[in-house]
Amino acid sequence: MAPHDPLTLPKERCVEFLSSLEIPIAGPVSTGAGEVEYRIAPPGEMILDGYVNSAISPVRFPYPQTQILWRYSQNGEPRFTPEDQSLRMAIFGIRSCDVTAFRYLEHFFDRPPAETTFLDAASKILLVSIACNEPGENCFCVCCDGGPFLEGGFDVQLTDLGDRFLFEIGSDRGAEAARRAGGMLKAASEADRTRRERLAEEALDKFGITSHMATGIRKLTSRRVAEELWARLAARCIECGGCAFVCPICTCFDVADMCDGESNGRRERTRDCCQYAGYSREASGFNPRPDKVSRFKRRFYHKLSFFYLQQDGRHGCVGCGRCVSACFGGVDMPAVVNAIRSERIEADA
Amino acid sequence: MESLAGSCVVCGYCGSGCRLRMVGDAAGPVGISPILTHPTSEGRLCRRGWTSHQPLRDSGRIRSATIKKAGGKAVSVSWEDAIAHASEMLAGSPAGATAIIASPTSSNESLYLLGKLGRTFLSTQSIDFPGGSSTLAIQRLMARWIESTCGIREVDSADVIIAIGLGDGDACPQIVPAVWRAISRKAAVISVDSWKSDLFSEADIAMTPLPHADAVWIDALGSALSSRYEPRIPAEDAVGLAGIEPGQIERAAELLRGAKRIAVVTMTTSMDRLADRRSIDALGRLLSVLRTTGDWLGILPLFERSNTLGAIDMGIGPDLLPGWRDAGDAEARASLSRAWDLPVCEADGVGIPGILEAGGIRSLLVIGDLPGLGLPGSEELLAGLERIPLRIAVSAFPSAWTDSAHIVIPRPLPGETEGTFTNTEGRVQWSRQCQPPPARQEWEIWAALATALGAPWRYATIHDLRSEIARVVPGYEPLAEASIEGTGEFVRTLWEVGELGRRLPADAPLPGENGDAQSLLLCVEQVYLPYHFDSEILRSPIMRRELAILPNEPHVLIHPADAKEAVLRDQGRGVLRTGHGETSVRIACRSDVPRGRIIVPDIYARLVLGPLLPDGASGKSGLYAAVHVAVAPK
Repeated sequence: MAPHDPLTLPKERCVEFLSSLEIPIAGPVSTGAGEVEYRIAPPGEMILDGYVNSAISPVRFPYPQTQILWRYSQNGEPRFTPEDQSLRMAIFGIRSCDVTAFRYLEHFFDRPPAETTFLDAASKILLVSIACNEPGENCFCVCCDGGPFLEGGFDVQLTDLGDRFLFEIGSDRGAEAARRAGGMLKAASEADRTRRERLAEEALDKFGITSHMATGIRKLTSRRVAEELWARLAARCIECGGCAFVCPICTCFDVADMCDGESNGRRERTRDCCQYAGYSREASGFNPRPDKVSRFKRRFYHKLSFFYLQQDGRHGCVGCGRCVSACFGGVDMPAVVNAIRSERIEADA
Repeated sequence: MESLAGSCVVCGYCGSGCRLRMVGDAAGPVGISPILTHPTSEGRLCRRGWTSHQPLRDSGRIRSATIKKAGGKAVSVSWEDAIAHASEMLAGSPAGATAIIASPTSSNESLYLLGKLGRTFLSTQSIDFPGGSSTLAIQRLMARWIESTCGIREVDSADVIIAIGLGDGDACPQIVPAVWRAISRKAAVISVDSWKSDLFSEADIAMTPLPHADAVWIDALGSALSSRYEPRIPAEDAVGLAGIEPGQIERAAELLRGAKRIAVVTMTTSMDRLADRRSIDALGRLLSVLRTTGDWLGILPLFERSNTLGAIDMGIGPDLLPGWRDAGDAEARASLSRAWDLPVCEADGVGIPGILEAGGIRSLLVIGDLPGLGLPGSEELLAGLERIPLRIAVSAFPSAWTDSAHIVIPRPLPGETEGTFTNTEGRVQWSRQCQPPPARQEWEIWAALATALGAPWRYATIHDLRSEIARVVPGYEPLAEASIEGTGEFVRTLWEVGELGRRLPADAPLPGENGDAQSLLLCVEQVYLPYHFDSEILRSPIMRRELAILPNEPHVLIHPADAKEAVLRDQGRGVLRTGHGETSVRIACRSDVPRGRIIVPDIYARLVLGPLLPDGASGKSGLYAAVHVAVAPK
């Protein structure tokens, strides 16, 4: 993709811009309870600014909690029909952490053998992100290379400059969106660019939570975390699964075949949780992670150890903060990483 | 795919009353979203909530009504025909011949109308719901201390929490963050439980008294706190009688004496904690001491199902009328008759045990699961019910009970139900329908049945019904406001009621039978919760997988160290022996079992205890047995 100079889009023309894309748009819509959720809705209903991220990530559009992979029929010749749920659409207002998660999932599912259900759906989605001038109270993307402003990964990144958005193009698909917008977009001034840089710098100082991921990665990878600490942290896990279900980059899933009558059925994939005892139980009945402590430890090894960082291109957290809201026991990612960091063990002394 | 319009649903499992949002499209829900601003859940859901869209996707639902024709063949009919048939069969039933087992997961509107139908046109007081009997004791306590209940989030602000029977918190998980937040603020926790759970690994005092010994430790604690407390039981006696550790009573009393804000949280599912009159009386006396200590927050009873409290409020019980009024009170009945403009049945009613085991019932209507189905002995139960000439099932999924029923009507699931639910704090919340039910809303089924039976009631909309509930049931006045159908909610006001005087289980512990020095104490405890056997939750493939971990044969639980000393192997078999006999059972090791004890899950109590106890002692009172056994490998 050729580099593009930043543009600006007046806020009052944002709805017009989204309409010009001529595809269904999902974006932040008020739930009426002081929250937003990402929903396919008319562009006029989208919230343009001042919202904190949704409880469930918009990565659910290509990767819903439950989805049909294919249907089967045994009437006559057995037939297996893949379920095409992909939709050419845009996600407007997606936050930086979720864009990072989206690209992580593409990388993950593209590992051989490629998982085409997700990849097909993801390939048809245009991501128009809005950078975070004001992080939410649980956000810590700044510690996870997940935001608050992105250098890449987006198709279009918008930055709220008050009465207009700075409009950055990050891909050919983003360039096509800009072409459709035509005269709505103007070249950004030097002052606009400077303001964008200043907002990005100021945002860094607004995070209430810090999570020392590098220390966590180092200690976990070198296995210098005491068993007693794992036991103490796991004691506060009630195995609700919330951390996995809200995490935009968790990829544990379960597959079940559901009968629709005697001759028809469907295979469904449902997001699952590695904290559940049954998740790792093998067909023989043997469970390599039979207790809560081993499952808890395993989750954080998968998220943070260097082995997975190398394999997946990044560690397993984008700092969206959803696990902070979801966890009953306060043993969310930043809490665990900070407990690991502050633990003094002999090897570290 | 998008969020289903108007999809704010009250979770259908425990009494926390979490609201969640169903995410999906026209083809149905594909996921769940928590609600961050919900006052109870604050965006946290347990594994049941997170998988609650899966039963809605199950294609094994009962989708049409059926009537059993001569020869036993069930044929599909419209729901209107099923109602017409049911009304023909029910019409003219003598007083007391019909019994109703309602569901604590139905809406207030459904429960209210079902109770009204039952007590008027069906002429019965034999109306009960699963779990009703296990809440009897705490109902009695609440009746006396009703002005002192507190909310889940208020527990956060306590500086001493007495937590009774909470286990690992799975029965009502929303209490867990409240307790831990309090601990983070350096609040002290006095845990009283059958288990040494992770939830209270940070408790200051963790007592594991024997079943049916709660009155002893409570009396000892009360005596240590106040010289006015009667009867006085010295702490050292509590150690011997209740099986608690030396010094625990004194330390608990010391914590409470220095406390500014005290909260008591107690689970109501436990059959073994606070299940007898003496314990409840003792707790009542203890509360009277605690409420004069510092800034008393109150007691929070945790109910096991999504609308257990609503079922009680709506008068689902053989001796309970709407608004906690005593069904045996002629004045209360007369008052209700005036409100309904109909005579209220005066015949004595029976609860679920009486319905299932006693004769004389001619028609049985069950909403949801048949209690006991899937547990040991359910074949005998079903065979016994075959004697009832008319069996009507309102159920979401097929089962041996629906196979046996003469009339089956599809039941809506959470997500298909519209109506209000009252959580364990008394918070009344509206739950929306995010997809249509296979037949009708439950309240519409009862309204149609009442009309077919000749009732003059006409409820054009659920709002009409809510307006009536607002007039008849104290505390539910705000139900008349249309705003409840938004994200509105209210906490129902509490009202003063008199002593309900309900019967409570016998409490005599059985004597030890074996003087063997190496013996262990055998206790019956509620190990598995009602949701473990819920037909709806088992329609979630993930939950089915998780719950399949439970051993499905009679077994006992033992601490691994005790098992090692007795040369018992986890999942192996062992022999339990008393002076009366012996039995061979599966052994399961669990580190949360207190040392020196063997725990029998209550669902296997009769099977395991039968050979070990004197004849006749393993009946219902045997559920509370504590008996010494010798244990050896088989």
